[in-house]
Amino acid sequence: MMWRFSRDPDTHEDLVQDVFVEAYQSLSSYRSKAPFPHWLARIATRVGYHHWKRQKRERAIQTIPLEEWHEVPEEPADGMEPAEAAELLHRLLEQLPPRDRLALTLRYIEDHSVQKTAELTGWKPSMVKVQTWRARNKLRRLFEKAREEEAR
Amino acid sequence: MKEERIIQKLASIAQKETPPQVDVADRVMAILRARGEGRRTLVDPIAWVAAASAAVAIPVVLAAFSVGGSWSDTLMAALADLVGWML
Repeated sequence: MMWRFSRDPDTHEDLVQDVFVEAYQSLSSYRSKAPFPHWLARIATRVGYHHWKRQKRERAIQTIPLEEWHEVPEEPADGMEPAEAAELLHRLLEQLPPRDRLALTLRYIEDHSVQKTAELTGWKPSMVKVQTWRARNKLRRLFEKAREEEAR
Repeated sequence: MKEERIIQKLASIAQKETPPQVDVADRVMAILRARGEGRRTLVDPIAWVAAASAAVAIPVVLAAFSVGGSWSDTLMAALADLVGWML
């Protein structure tokens, strides 16, 4: 899961470490009402989300320049390498604010339901739907902007 | 929306990716010990950290637990899936 939050090997390792440290320190708050993996998944989501917010503040993000968006295949081939697809998707979603990025990552890449996404993020299901819809619209506007730039 | 189809297609392919293996056991252990953890919970930090390493460490984790009850049973079952999921 943490690989979705950073594809840099060193950062990935840091994030996994952070999750285990935070989870251990929060063990006393685990009440067994929810399955343990669910509880841990919420911590992991929070750690990853805070990483993105920190990144945004520090503006340390390698994004896809608008002039390269034409390289995004309109019909990704079935034979495309999973790592290649994941890398491209990761860089596309990096264009978005952390909240939008989280919604699309959990709903599309992790393929979670609205309910599951709500549990992981602490958002209400209605908020998940709204956030996902807004994120898709922002991405669509970025694609349109890239096409306009390309057409010039 | 065409863009949504692109994202969905890329996502379906990306889901097949195998993330890299990491072993953070030593690092986590060092951090917890530096912070003086392990005295306040029932879970031994070594056992907890062992779960963060490769799957071969899981039997070590299970043997380390001596606390009975449904909570530890749940924890042990969950830890068996922990490493793969966390990656």
